[in-house]
Amino acid sequence: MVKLSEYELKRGGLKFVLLIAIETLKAELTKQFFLMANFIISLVDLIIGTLAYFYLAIFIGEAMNRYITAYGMSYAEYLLIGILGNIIGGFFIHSLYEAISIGYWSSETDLYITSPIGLKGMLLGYVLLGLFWRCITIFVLVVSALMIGVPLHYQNLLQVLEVLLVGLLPFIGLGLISASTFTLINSKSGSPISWLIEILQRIFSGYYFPIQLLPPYIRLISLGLPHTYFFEALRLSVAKGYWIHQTPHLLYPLIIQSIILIPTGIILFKYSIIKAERTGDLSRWT
Amino acid sequence: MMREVVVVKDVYKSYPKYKRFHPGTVLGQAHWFFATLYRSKKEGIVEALKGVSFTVRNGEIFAIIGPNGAGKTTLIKCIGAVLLPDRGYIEVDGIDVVREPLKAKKKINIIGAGYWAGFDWSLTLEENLELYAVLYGYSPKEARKRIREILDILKLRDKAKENPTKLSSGEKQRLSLARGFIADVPVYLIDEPTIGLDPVGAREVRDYIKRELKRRGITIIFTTHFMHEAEQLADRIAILKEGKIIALGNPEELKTKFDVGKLVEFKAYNIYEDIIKRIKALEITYLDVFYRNYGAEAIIKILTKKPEETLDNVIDILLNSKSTILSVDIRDPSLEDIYRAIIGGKVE
Repeated sequence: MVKLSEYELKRGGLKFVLLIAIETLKAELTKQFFLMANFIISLVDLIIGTLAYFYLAIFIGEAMNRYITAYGMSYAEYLLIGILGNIIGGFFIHSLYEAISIGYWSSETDLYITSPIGLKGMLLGYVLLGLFWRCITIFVLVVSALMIGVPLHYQNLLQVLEVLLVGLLPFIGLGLISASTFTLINSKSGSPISWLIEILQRIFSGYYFPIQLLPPYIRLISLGLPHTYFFEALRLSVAKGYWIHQTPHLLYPLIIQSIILIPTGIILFKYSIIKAERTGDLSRWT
Repeated sequence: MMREVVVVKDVYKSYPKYKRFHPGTVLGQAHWFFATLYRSKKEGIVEALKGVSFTVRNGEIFAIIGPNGAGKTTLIKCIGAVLLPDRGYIEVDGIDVVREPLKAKKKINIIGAGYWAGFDWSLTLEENLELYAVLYGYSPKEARKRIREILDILKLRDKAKENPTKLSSGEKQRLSLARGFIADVPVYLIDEPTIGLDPVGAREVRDYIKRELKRRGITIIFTTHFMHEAEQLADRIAILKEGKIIALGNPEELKTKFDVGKLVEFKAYNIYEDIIKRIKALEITYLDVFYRNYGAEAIIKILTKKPEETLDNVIDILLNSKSTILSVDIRDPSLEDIYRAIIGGKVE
């Protein structure tokens, strides 16, 4: 019989957490593909939705072009970058909350809470699952765009990478704050932070259209959203090859927001875990 | 003298009680908003444990019995390092559970019933158990070897490639036990091992606990609602009521601890509420009535310190009420009878 103690010394730390995460991901993917028809239907939905978006963009592109001449790209590409940026940013904002929520509602948090590894492996596993699905979405979007003939700038990848490294920092903070609401205010049916950000960014961040279209006093809301600077920096780096450090009007707000949001997120998330240990809020075992 | 493996000293635990959300209409996407609003409002505090203390010796089977809301599951969660106590000290195999919860969890295995068990219905038994084995430090290859051994012990080998949905209630509970068997740890905490099982399934599970775990010298703490289960399995029993241990000892000690007198038992036809009220007015310790055959036949169990006098008085009441007496018996009460009287608040 294999004794646990024989493995205690060999296994521990990050390597063990990664092993658990991979096992969790493996189990989750087995589940997701268990109902293959569901997967295929979702994929078809995604492809049709994407094609509809692009044809719409081509259709209204003529009217929109005069607002986006500064970027030197078509409206379809403008929209594509907005959507891709939103998927990547959304991963950082929503994935931790989603990981906790999936684990809690499937009662799997109980499985992990009672084990010596705790929740780390499970959370990482579900975050990787979120990443997996978002990668599929990004792949479908890009392939669809190429198939339709949307002209894409893809020569400035290093500049884009810099934007991603700096621009996504405030999103990490927002993600931690969003995840902490699960136990701090018991928002188990959905994160109010995610909901609020999702609502605001659709209109005020330049996701679908430039914020210059908005009345000046409403643009004040745009200034408070990291999405506004992130989308702008992303588009300028893709189309014009700008490095983010060359655009301080975009860089500084993102750094200030990161300095505020990341420590706030870490404190709130840590406190939410302490609260869960005291109240048993992450367990459905009653 | 046997070593004390679990030490629970003066443990207190209270919970905030949240306002419950009952949507009267379908709120759709707004549901989360109202649910959050309601759930974030505290309605008060529930004191689940109020100074619980006991120790469990190496290899002992220890039962915690009590009615719903007594604090049994909270106590198991605190010992299992799933929930932090407000104050008090808990030690498992020499490790302070509050200070070093993850280290303590390497010594503990929690086995529960029902949905909380976290089995995934779209994975096979083997896949479910493999994930759990990895959580306890086995590599996937080692895990598969171990799982085959465990499934053999629990007679689930032929179901290894099936989903948990295909199992009977008894098999599902055995699957919970199988998960528990994977980790080779010194202490098992089992929450209501036979809940929801039919009598045959419940007996099977009890047999497994008694035979397999006892044989392996594992220390077991389990909770139950049923005194007969505690009596059958446990070396010692703690009766938990409203967050406090009100009695602790082996079954024989518990029987002598409470001076409840004798049990007078009647089987009779035509027992109505007014008859029960008149019997309750007599000088008795506790009364329980069970109806059978759609209420036509009743079993009246009376705990009394004056059995002969009670017998005469009850016979008078029944005959005057034109009830038909089928049988009468006077005997020593079982632990189940005493437990019902304690929980009913009639015995201090």
